[in-house]
Amino acid sequence: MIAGAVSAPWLDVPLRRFVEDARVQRAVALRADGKVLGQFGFASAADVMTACALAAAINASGKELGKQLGGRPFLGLHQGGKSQGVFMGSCTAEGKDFLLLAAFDRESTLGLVRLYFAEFRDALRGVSQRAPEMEGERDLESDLNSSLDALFGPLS
Amino acid sequence: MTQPYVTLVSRLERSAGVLGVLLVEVEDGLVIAGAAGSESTTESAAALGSSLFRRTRKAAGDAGLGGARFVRLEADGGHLCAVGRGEMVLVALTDRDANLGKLRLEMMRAAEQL
Repeated sequence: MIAGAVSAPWLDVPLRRFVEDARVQRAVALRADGKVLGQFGFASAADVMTACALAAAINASGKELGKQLGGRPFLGLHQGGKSQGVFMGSCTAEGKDFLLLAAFDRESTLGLVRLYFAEFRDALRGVSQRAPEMEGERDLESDLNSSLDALFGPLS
Repeated sequence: MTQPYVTLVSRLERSAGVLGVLLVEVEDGLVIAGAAGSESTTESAAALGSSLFRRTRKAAGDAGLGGARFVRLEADGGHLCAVGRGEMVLVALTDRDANLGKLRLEMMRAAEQL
């Protein structure tokens, strides 16, 4: 069982299920602005912070590139390596956009990750509980820090 | 470029009792050619069929049985058959009445052409 934590309770079951079913090594759910909502498999807050910052940046550029090339943003992204792959997909709960970033090795495949991501996305669509509000004027860094504190405890 | 694969898959689809045939990239679990119902059903069958084949092949290797060539899963509503060759796996979904012996032979022959 992969250890993890979520700061949004409504995300716990779908994210845990995705990690187990898709057999990914690591997964993190975040808002498009980089705020962490939950993670499984990461060893430290610094790793999560790095992954979320990069995922948010990749999503922003991928979205823009998609708009420029085809008039619509991309819905998913995959980077395959020799022994590891990374998948990122977007989904919606309560009208808010979320990203799911997952890293997987040869225990899984892109096909499986996509399959269970579709189930994850459908599960989130059915979330009736109110998704946490954005905290107005707070910036990316303070958002990241507060959600990382909730997941891992304050950095010493 | 995919036309030879499409032809090969279409030939297998004509066998009695076959509900769908897919040619799948075994490492990614993504469809190269073929269909099995709706798009989501096709993607599920491809991902799960290739995963089943990979895992069975690994289990057979770990058990000292050598490489798995043909895998058949019997379910309540039918069968899933898979045969691998190199980086590809042929997956066929059938109903309960399909002639599995004939299908196995046809799938093995088709795999040799991959």
